[in-house]
Amino acid sequence: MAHVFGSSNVGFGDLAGWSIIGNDSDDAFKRGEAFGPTGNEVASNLYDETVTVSTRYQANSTSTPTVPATLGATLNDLTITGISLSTSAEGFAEMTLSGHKHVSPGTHGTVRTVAHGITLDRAFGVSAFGVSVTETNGLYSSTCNIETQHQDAPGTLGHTIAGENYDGKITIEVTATGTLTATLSGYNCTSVKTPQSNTDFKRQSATFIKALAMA
Amino acid sequence: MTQETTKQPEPVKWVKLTNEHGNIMEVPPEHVAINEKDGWKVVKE
Repeated sequence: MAHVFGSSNVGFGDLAGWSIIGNDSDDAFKRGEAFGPTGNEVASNLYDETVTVSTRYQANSTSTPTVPATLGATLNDLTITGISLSTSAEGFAEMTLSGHKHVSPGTHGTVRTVAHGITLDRAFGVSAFGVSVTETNGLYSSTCNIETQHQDAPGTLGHTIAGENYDGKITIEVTATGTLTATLSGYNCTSVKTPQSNTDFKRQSATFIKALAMA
Repeated sequence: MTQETTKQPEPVKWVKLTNEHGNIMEVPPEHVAINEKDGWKVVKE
């Protein structure tokens, strides 16, 4: 097998405005085991082959890239169950898409979806994801995790014959180098962290969560 | 005797979209417009 350098069009595939900077793929079986009278395994059976994929992207120009709009959509046969965004004042935006597919004969077909409505403010620098902050807050970094829980059901021989998404959530965390006075309509603010050290300015982070109804 | 059967609703057929790199995304029909705004194009079948 030839050695392959780089990560071109792998996993969820190339997307406009983004470069793939990494991809993890795990093609895994479950393993059924039978044991003999002395406790040793006497038979095994592999079943429910599932490929789990995580593709990492970085914005590749100063034009603001788009974020896949539909959580639960199928992209290159992979069901999108997670979209994680990360931005900072000193870097280009990064995005990780997470999901899976079941290898034939396993399949769950289409599942429930939601249009999450999250966009980036810019390719380079911090995106606030709608959090109301002022410039004097010194917004320094942010993350936004859009994810759904997913449950599969096995058929007669263990391979997946049904699956569904449920309990979607958006979790946004913004961090400022100043004192943060942040609000985000429609979300619960669940945490305000204030880390301090003797070699840096006080920072403050706020976490916001809201539910996404998968339908 | 007549036996009643419960007819399951037909699953909604998802729409195939493609981007400039030839990757395929499938979404429910009601999500086509928001993805088209992001540059995805419907695959004619």
